[in-house]
Amino acid sequence: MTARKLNFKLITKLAFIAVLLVGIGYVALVAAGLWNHQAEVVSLEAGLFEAKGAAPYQAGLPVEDGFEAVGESATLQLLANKASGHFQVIHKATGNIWRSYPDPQYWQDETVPATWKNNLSSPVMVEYVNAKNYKSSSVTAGLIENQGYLDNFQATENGFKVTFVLPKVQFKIPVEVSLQGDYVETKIIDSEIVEGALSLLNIKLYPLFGAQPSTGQEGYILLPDGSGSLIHFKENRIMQQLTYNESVYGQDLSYYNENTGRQRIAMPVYGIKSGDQAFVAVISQGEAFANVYAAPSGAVGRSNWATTEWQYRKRFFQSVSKSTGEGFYTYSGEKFAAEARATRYYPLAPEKSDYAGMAEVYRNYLIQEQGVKPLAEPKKDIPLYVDIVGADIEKGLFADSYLKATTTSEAIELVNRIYGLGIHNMQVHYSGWQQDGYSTHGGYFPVDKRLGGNDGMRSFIAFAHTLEIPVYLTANYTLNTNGDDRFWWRRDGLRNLAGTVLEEQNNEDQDAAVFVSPKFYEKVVAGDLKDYKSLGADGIYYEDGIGQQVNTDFNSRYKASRADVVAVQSSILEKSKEAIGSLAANNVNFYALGQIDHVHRLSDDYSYDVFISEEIPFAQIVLHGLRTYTLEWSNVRDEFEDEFLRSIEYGAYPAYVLSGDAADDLKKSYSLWYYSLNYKDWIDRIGAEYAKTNEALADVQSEFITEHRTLAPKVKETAYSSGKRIIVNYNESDYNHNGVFVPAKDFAVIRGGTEP
Amino acid sequence: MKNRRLRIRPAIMVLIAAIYITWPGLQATASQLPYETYYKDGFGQLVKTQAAYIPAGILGTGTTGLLAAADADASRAASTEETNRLQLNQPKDIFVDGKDHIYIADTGNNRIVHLDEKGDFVREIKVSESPLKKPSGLYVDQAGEIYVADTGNNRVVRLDAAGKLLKEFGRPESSYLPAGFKYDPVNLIVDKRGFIYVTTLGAYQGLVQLDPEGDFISFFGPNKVPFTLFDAFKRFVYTREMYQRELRKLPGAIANSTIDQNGFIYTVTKEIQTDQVKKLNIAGLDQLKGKGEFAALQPVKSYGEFFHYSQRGIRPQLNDITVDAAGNITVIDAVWNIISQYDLNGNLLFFWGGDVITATSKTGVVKTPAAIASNSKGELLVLDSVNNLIQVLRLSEFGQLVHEANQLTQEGRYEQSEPLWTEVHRLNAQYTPALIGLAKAAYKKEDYARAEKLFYQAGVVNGYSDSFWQNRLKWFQSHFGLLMNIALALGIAYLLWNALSKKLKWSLKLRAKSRPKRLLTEQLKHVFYLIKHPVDGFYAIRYENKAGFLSSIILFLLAAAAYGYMQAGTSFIFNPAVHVGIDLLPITVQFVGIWLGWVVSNYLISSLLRGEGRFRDVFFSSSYALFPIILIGIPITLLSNVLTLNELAIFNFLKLVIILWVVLLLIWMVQGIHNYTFIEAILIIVLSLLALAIIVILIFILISLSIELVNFINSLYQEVIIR
Repeated sequence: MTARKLNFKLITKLAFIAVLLVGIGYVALVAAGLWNHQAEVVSLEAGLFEAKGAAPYQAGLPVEDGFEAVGESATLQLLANKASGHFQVIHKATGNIWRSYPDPQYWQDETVPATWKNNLSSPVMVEYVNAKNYKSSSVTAGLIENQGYLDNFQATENGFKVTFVLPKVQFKIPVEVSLQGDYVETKIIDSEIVEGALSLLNIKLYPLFGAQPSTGQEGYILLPDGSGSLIHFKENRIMQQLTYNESVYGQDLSYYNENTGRQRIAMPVYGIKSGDQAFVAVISQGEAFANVYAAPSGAVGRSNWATTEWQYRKRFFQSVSKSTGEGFYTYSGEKFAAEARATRYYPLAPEKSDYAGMAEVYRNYLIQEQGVKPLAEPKKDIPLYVDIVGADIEKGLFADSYLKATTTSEAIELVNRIYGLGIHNMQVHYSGWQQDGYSTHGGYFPVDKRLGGNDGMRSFIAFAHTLEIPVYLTANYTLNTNGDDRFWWRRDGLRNLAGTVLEEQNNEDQDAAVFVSPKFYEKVVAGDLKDYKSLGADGIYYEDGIGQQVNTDFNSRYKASRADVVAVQSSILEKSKEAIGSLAANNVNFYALGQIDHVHRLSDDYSYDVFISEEIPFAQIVLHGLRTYTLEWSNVRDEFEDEFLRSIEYGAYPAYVLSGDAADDLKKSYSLWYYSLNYKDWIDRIGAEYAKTNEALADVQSEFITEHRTLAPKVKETAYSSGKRIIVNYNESDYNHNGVFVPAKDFAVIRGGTEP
Repeated sequence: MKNRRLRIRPAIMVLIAAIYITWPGLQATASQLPYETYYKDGFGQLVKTQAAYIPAGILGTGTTGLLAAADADASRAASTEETNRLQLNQPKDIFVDGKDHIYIADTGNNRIVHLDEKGDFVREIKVSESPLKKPSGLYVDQAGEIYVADTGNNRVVRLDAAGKLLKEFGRPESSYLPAGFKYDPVNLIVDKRGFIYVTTLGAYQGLVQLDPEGDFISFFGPNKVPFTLFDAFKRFVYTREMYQRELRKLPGAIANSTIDQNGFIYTVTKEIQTDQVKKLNIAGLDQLKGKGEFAALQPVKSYGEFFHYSQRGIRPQLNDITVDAAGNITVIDAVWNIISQYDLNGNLLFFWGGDVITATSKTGVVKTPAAIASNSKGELLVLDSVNNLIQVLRLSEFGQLVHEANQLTQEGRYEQSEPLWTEVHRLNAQYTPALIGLAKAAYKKEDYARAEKLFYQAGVVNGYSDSFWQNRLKWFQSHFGLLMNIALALGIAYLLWNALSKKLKWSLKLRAKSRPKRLLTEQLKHVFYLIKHPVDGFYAIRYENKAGFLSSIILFLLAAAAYGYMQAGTSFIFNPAVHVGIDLLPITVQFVGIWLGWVVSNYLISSLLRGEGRFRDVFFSSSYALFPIILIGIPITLLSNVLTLNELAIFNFLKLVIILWVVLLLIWMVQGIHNYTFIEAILIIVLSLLALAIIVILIFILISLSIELVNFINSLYQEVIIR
């Protein structure tokens, strides 16, 4: 009996040891990577990337006369080089040439190391990483560094197709270049990209298209930074190493974002001007997966260059500890798939070769391709935009306490007073009307009882309508703070790559607000539309969320890529416009323009990067006559006078954010801490500012801005299509030149004729 | 290299995570300066304001002005050569002379760079006859003579306007200088008499004051060492050697200094928590002490502001100071990149900066501020020693307005300042200096009611108390007749009462007898007996069941409520915290917690040491002992609302009475219920408090350990799941 027992024990012991050994052995094999069928895979891929007699890509620039015509339009000619995959665009009238590679004239002076020289002359620059090893860092390389070659070069109807092969890192990138009317389009065909073991992060296609070094000519890079900004060509710039690289339509919060403190790119557009030769690039397809990258001279090579950086994967910071913030970097697994990725390069005629010309091209693009219709016949006077704040909350003892700012009956009085100033073209945005005020999101309806409820709002709107004042209700559906609308953060929240629900904390006292999955808020908005209608609202003013927040959603229930989010938001805008009739939104990405009638609080500033040398009203030049817009609320300005002048220069209408006279102390409110809201403090200013702006802008409301330039330091001129010009002088001293007199800190209006 | 990177990475990640949490709204605003400007009132409340300073360009690069596109053509030709000549290398000091010419101590290039008022290169000074070596500070006097702190050569040199060496000042010979004193001049200022004040590296003795001949006069403006109770204890316990080894007890070394037109010398000191900025008169006395509006709230003032979120832990380290023509003081903080501006009395006006962006560099934001200077146009020039450039900030419309208004107020021209402050207030209703300015104007105009209201809004105790005093006087004057009548009526009523009470007493007694005795009321009544005969009263609780559970709870709740009322209901004058609003919950929890802890620890200790009281006795009598809080606390809280700072002594005395009385009652309680002598009772109380402290410490350890454990398990789980 006992002997048997002993045996049994021994057997189990041995069996256990055996299993353990086998287990360890297996783990070791897997760890060493020998268990896989990797050898086969390698051979298979090697076959795929065999050059098959294709000549390896030659370092250096293509020979200038090795180009042959592959396309032609009324104004342009497209030439391509079979050996290098590069192309040239020739403006037929002037003979100006835009090359897809660095200007050969200055190439021998290039001082960057050979590796970068190779990258800069390569038609394609890729960044990749070994995603399996989280310690590895990414590498940027071109064709030459990877013993690359061209595959399958073939002419198409109006251009050519070619596949760039990088055998060393096992990428195949098929592209297409075509000439269409007044632009050249470069395209990456995502569906045919081949990827090996390494992970593609991003591609810069023809990065040095139209690039020029600074050689004393007038020139600049146009960036869609804020309202638009310029990097003037200049040798020996300060802090040369800095470059610009920002995601179109803003950062994707579901990934890691370097904190650059820059403004969101609302317009997928950039350009370069050198002498009288300029082009503007519009990212026309797949822009949600694009970055705008710009390297002024000295940053990466001597050339000033700007390009689209096509994103395929993004970096993600995987946190492993809530308390210490420790973690590591990783990358998204599957690459982003876009239907197409296309950049259009519009070469400009010499007389249009400035940023106003670039803006005109982009405006035409919006009108013709995006279906943005120019403004209909406007009213005689310019509009005044008044944001009325209803209520907000602040931290209370147990629950947040409600701070009333403007009840609906006080709003009637407020509007009446402003109307009494003789301002009859007014648009009201009522914010903070929802349950528990401005900082509360979710379950907007009914209008908060403490402000007057639905009935109060209805009577306010009815009153406004008697004065022909439209009332928009402010809403932001991208956040949820209270779980209403049947929102459960675990089920319906926007999740990042790690599956964490994203939150935003705008005020340290307030509990973080949860981001809502776009496909969830689509349902919520659809459900709320009838309520807006029943109140009689003329429109919805989408603030801060829809039209601005483009984040990949990894919530498996509502999975959406950036492009999907753009589509979801567009469809929301379409449906709400259809149901309500009109929409406004603040500082929106330009994909929303088709449905938005008014762009509120359009950015009027740049991001103060050291390399930026001038801020320009590019967005405003594009928009004037297309959409109405305002700049930042007048009573929140840093400098009242200067920024008033800027709104005149930028052709923007006045906007104020106001509260009633008997508002609670909003100092500690979560969102409405704004300096000074009481309308009685501002009523005189409103009258004065409106009168001055109306005088300047009333008769050009539907006109395009045709020209904008600097006449002297801090003296700017804006010209409209009727020939009317407005000259703004920001200086402390008067401007007097060629018969044009502008007093200090003032502006002058000139109706056609005399040239200053 | 690799090792280092590994170490740095987590730190950066933490930083990034922190930034992301605290600056989420950065991309949201339409008009976007690269920094935000705030004001912080005496209660530490942040108030966002319009920007006081606006980026106006970058100097030291050949580019003048920010958006210089239009005149770029003119400057382009000269720019290349100029840029090369101008390229700074780890500059450490900047000085602006009376003509707004700029001098930079270009430390890494061993030279002084001279720019004109537009920032264009004029010349460089290397002193070829005796070359400069790592000059890190300089001063230019009105005659144009240049004084350089030539750190590398351990000397100060004086040059004439053309840059020729006039005199060289080595380590001064003096018996007053300690033998171990290291003479590393890093900065200097020169007063009108030609006396030189040298900042030397790490010299805690103060500035080295030299006469024009270079003879040592004395140390100027040393900082003092704070001497705490703990230090006294150490001095008592430690040996002499041990105590002397306490290096930390050296006073802070002055980091930088400046001098204004009136001859006041300003110093900044790193590594100390308070009084980092000093404004010294010729005798070396600090002129800022006790001058601030919030002096009542902040008896010791700390300079160098910070946002209270994200920045706990590391304190600001002030690097340099500048004073503008109006006497406004601006300091830069090398840790948080924050520039703070104070008026001539040390009241905060604005502070801005803070956001550390590593990915790019911004116009108007300094990454490593080394020095700051101001010119006659009111611009600030901040020297960045890593990016090797100078950021210029100009005063904004709002900043200008505040400066003008504040100057009038400081000069006592309150009426003239009123319209300006009104405009500031209109632009920013929450900006406290405007409220203070308006309040002072109202006080001057004898509109005390308005002054009182505004001072209250601003949270200024002294001003409020003064206005309240005036209003009270006025009230008394106008209501004198009524008051006298009331007093008269009361007197008559008292007399009548005396006359009638004899009759009444009889009938009352009858009624009392007829009523059945109720236990609860009897037990509650016991408290009145207790305050008359404390020891007997407590003895009665122990042995005669004079107190019950219900009555104790009632008394305790009343005491807690009275305590809460004292915290929240006391006048703003004696309890400025009411201005920000009192959160009663933590106060109550604290009160209840300490009381419970006392009950438990006292019971535990006394039961070990032959105490006769049971737990319920300790519980009951501890509630009864709180009675003074109800008895006196409520009346003095009510009273506080008609007192001013002049009657502070009365208020404090009454508060002291409560404390003493409660303490005495507790001693008698221990004596009474446990049957101890007086001395034993005190000993027991001390032991109980010790036990209480141990209990609290144990609870803290338990909580923090379990939090650590949860975090550890969580990160372990995350690692396993993710990797």
